[in-house]
Amino acid sequence: MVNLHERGVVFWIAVGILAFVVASPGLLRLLIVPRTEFFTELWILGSTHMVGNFPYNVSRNQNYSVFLGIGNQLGYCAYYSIEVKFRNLTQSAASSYNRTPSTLPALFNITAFVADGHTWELPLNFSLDYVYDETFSLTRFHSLTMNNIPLDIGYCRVSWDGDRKGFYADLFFELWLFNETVNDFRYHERFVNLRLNVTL
Amino acid sequence: MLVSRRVLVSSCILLLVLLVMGDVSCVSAYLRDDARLAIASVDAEIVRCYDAVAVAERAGGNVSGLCAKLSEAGMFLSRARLAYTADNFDSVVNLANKSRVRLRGVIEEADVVRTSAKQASFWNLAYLIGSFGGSVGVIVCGFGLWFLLNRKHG
Repeated sequence: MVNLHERGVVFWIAVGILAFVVASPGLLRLLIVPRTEFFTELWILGSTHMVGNFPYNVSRNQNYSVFLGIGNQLGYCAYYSIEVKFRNLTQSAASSYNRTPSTLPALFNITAFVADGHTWELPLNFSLDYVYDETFSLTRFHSLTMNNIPLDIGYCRVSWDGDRKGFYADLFFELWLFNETVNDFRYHERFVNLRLNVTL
Repeated sequence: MLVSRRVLVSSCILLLVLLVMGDVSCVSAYLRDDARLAIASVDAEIVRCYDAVAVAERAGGNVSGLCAKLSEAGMFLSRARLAYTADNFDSVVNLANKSRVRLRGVIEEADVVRTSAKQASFWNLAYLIGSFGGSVGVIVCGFGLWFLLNRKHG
């Protein structure tokens, strides 16, 4: 025989469970862990869409493909500009330590609008046109063609690197973020680069 | 004979002049100022659209589709800027127009997204209140039922 006290316990447990079930849709909306970190991810993937198979030994007028991506975790829809730059190893580079961009002018700006919590990706195909100057033992670049857009990189010459045994150049992408207060882009302290060994 | 030769020569010269003029007008249809204005105008339009999209997102709307449109418009603008550095002003105006076409209707669409997001957030609040109200109702009914059961069974 169940006494009144035991019946009461069962009854109120049942009421509690029912009240919790009825309140659960509302609780789900309230019990969201607030975000404390706001940042942007910038990545580059190889031709197989993985972290690997990056172009390294490049030949003249040969096509190479990579994927460039952005992940927006800033908490708002962001307006990005990715500056495409090309340099030899003696020219100005973007610095992770000083958080500064390269002083080289951008060859091209890739524009991306990314909603909060979303990602954006762009397949990039590129090729390099250059000649080898035997007299000075250096490579003179003519153009970088990116997604069928020819870009002038005539300013860039690469000398033979005796230590690393090659002609090395960097193709890099700097991330800039639109600032509504100043109505202009500010360097977002992120860049990715591809080290290329230019073969003859 | 001499007259007909003169007519032929003058016709050829006239034809040549017309061809050259046509070619020149084709090459320089737009001036540097036109190109600069086209870029500035599309640039300002993109920022206006971006503001509208940002407002729609703050209201809780899903703006990923609008962002894709803006990215496409931005890409054309970037290519227009590149054409401007190469003094290819016809291309600049053409690309700026393509960018403008992509931006058409973005502000209106962002307003629609914002309005529906506001309505959705109203219903979310109603759902929240209803859910907690229902829970309180269950507890109150529990008390009532407990009171009745206690009275019935002494």
